[in-house]
Amino acid sequence: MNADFYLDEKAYQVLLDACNNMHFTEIVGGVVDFNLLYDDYWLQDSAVIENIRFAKGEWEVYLVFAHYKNPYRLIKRKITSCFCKSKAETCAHYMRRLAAKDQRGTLQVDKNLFQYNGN
Amino acid sequence: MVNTKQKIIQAAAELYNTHGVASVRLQQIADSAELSIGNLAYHFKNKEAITLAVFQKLTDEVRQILNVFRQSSDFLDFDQQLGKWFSFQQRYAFYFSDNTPWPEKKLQRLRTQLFSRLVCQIQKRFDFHCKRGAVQPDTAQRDYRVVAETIGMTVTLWPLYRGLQGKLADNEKEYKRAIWSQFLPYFTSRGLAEYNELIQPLLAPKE
Repeated sequence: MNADFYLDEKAYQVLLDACNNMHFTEIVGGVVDFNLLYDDYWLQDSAVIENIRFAKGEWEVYLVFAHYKNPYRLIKRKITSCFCKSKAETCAHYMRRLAAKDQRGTLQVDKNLFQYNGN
Repeated sequence: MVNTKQKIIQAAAELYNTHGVASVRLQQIADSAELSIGNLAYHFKNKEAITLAVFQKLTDEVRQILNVFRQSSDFLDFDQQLGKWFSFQQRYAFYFSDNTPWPEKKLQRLRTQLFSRLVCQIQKRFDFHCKRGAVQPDTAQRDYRVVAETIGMTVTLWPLYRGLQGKLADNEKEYKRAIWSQFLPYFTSRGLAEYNELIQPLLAPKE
């Protein structure tokens, strides 16, 4: 570090204030913070369809997630927006494929692949 | 392994602490470092160069003490820093109290800045504990900047004050008690309870 460099008192005070504030803002999380895992668990078994909408001069891409047994249980989320309709359609297509459940069940995950010995 | 330069700096710092910077001669430093005066002159051309190296080392140490701030959210954080200040004062009390002109103005300026950082840290500690309800809020009658300056004075000039009384400043608990007692009037009931639980047992004299 350059020995000639130093913070003036005002800047130093701001720095100390930031250190102090960290103790009020960065607190350890609780069990309730994991509630989203239970709340959103149903999304694992949902059908996904894309929805494109023209608004404020842009083509907005939405994905609609609906529970496969109860279609009234659904959420709709805006993913992105494009200036061109065909681009929005392409984008929506790939986004849907990314988000949808693997319906044919051809994708496989082997848990043993995650076990490796680093030594 | 300690090299010769470090040995000279260490010996000079110890002598400065005992006798004051102005009263120490090169021969004393050489004797204390177990070197010939010729060897001493090989490493440092004069006393001013040694003094400069000593103050540079001490300035780095003070910086390291001040680099640690708010590691925990209770009073122990400051108590640990006080322990470091006490250890520093035992070895190098002259750093803050000696009035001999320093060999380099830049270092002297740095010492002033470090002292103002110490005061700033104390003031921010007040702010922090005030925010978490352990210290009473700052008001026009209760200006924590002024209190912080007084505490900063005690932290840095404690050995000098004890010397004026003809007493030794070698008791860490006494040193800490003198400083914590300045915080006491500003604690809330919560702060006082925390102080009694965490700090008071550490400051109690041995039976």
